[in-house]
Amino acid sequence: MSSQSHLRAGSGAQSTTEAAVRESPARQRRGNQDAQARIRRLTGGTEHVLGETIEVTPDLLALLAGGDAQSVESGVDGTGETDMSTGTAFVHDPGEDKTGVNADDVTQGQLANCYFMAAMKAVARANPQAIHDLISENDDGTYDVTLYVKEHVWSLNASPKVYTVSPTFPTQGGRTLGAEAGDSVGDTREIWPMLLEKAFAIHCGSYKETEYGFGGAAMQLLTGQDTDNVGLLLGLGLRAEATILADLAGALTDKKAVTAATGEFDADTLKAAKAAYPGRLGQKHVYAVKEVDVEGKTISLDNPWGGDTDIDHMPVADFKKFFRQYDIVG
Amino acid sequence: MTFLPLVLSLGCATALVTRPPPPEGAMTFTETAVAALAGVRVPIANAAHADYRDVAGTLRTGATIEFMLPDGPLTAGAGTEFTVGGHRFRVHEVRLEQPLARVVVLPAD
Repeated sequence: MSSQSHLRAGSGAQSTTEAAVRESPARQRRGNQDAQARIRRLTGGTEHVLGETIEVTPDLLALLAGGDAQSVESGVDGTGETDMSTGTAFVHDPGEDKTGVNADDVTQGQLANCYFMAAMKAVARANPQAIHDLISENDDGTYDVTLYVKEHVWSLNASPKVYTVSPTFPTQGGRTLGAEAGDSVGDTREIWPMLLEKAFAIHCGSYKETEYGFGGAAMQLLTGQDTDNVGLLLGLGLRAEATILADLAGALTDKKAVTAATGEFDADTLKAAKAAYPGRLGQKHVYAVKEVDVEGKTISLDNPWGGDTDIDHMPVADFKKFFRQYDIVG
Repeated sequence: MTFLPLVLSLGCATALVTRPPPPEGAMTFTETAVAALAGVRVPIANAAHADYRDVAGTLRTGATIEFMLPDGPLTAGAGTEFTVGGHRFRVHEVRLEQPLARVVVLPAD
């Protein structure tokens, strides 16, 4: 998309930005910093021509209006912000397919939106091209990010909606508030999970509003496809272990995306979870299903927390004990 | 007796409205998120009403949450202190809210 069409598309953002600038000196400073960053991008880094201080004027606002057309302001939820304009949506690492999209690119940040992170992991694992196709870079350094949104509760189908986002992200405690960057090559960081999360934050109204949700709904946002939600009725054992294994193995073989959510643990279940999977198993947490061993009757789970927190080869009996639901899409 | 539910409701509402703001420097995290403490990523999970030890090592019972520290998980409640990234932190409060609990942490250096 050209810068020109951006200006038209984003004209509605002008009044929002103006109001925000008038509200407080802190916001005004942030607006100025954002403006400087965007001008650097728009002018190819000739900020020295413009000087150190840039006043936010109505003309400038009109120029900048396309950047975050429906955006929450960058940094509004955090204590600072980080500029990832030196990053790129996708970095192709050895071992990844041609898109550069990999489930391991996704690492949850300081928000309780594990369900969205798990959904990104699950879709990236099943269909990396689908993730790749959601994001395109614009000439002005912003990105167009597509999510599939149901306009109304009663809407039968989700339709694509494009959110234009800038590569700046709020921080807290010296790290990004939301998702961490993925792979890196030199100084170039891979930011596709951060861009998708920011578009989702715009969709929700703020980063904080992304907290708490369901993996199935998030996978639908990313794919536009309906989700099969399978409840396990925690502790009652109503779904046979063989059926669970067949469901999950079949879904992964068919290149479908699968997430699984734990329930709220009672005292005994919590004690068992801490003993069997210390540091890895959380209640009310969502994981991506990464592997199923039907013969060995185990399920391996990708934890959005990252690091060494994945759960490999969990016996299906434990899966039944700790998990409340799994969602399949594709 | 008829007014008891009303009195209790008003009492709870007053308690919520008058809850003091968190102290200066407090950081609030939500269950299942990954906190950044001294730049170290620390997943937070498994809120419950359970036993824990405060800074003096005294066994207490109350609202708890688990910090997945690099050297192993720690079940903590109000008054628990721990070190991560070379800095000391103190749990100010664990709130067993729905759908997810919250924990307020303070620097204790």
